[in-house]
Amino acid sequence: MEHHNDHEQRLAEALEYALRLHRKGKPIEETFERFPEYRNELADLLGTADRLQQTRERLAPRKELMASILSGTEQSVTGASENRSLSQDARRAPEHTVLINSHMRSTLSFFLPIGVVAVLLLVFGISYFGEFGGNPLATNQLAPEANQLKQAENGLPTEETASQSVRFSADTASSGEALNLDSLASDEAEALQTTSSFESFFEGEEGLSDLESLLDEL
Amino acid sequence: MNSAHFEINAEQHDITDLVRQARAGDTDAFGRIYEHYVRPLYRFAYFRLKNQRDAEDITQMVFLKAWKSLDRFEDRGYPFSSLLYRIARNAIVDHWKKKKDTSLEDHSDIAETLSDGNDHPDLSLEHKDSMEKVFGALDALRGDQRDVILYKFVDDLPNRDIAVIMDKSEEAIRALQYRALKALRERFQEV
Repeated sequence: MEHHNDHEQRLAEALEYALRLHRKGKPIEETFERFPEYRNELADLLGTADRLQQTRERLAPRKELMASILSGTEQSVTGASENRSLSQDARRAPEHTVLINSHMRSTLSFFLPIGVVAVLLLVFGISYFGEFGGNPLATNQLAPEANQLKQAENGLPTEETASQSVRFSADTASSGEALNLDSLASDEAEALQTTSSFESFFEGEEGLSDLESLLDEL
Repeated sequence: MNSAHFEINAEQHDITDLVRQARAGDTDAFGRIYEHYVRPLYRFAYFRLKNQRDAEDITQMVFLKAWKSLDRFEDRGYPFSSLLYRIARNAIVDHWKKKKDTSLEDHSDIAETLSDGNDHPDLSLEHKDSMEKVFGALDALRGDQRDVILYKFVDDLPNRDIAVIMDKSEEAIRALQYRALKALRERFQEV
């Protein structure tokens, strides 16, 4: 049994040696010279291997296969990209819509109340600052115009009221503040002049035509 | 041995260059890759499927999948042939699974799916007859013997690679190869 194993192992090595030489294109005789005791067995085994390889060499795909593969690669490139885009579009449309809806829902649920509050605050702020003014200077500058409009509606003399308010402020203010009040009074007078010039601008045909030309320039 | 080693390296280098060119969209380079591998891959498939149409389908699929995998190939650093043969092997396993067969290593039902005789019409009747006998003898072998024969004499793999594939030592592969070839010779004599 041990002798049989040694023989088989040695023959296996001889076969491997012969196959390597054969692969390198060297003559089989070299193997026979090296392993003369296995000459007949090796010749049979190498003949079997040769028959296998002959069968293998005869096998070839049809020549049309190359054209088929190349057209397949082209189709896979163009078709795949088309399909990819189509399928992606088809898939994206509902996904996109869902995403947008979901996003819109979450966004609206967050921003809508804030927006409403912001608009309300803006309206309140405009009306508050427009009527009362947060900034004293702005109040003094804007108040005559607002008062003028209101008082014009009520038929009261605007210039007189404005000078009265300036005077009242001057009486109650300290001497340091009097200078500021004087300057404010002069600002008010300018504002009144501006208001009256705006009024006159809108009164005549000439003013309207100027406005139209200004709009045209803009 | 050294010269062969250098030849393999040079060939591998050429293939790597061709793959790089093919990745850049050079279809001629892909054509050269095809010419280099189409016959070995077809034979790999035919010896396991024994049907020209199926073998060509598998070969075509291998190249199409390889074409699509070109971008990923270089990043992995494997020889390009390993990618091709892996795709081919998986495709053949899938083919047998679809035919309610077992794995690539178990060809017990292969004889039932032998070619209908219309394969390779360019071959002479004598060659076809010889081919039938070879396939008949291969079918009669034990699974591991048939595998080592196919890997060694059809796929031209070195013992080192066969040892890895079959999870055996190189020495065991050498012994198996001897016993398989001896068994095949006996089958030839019977047939």
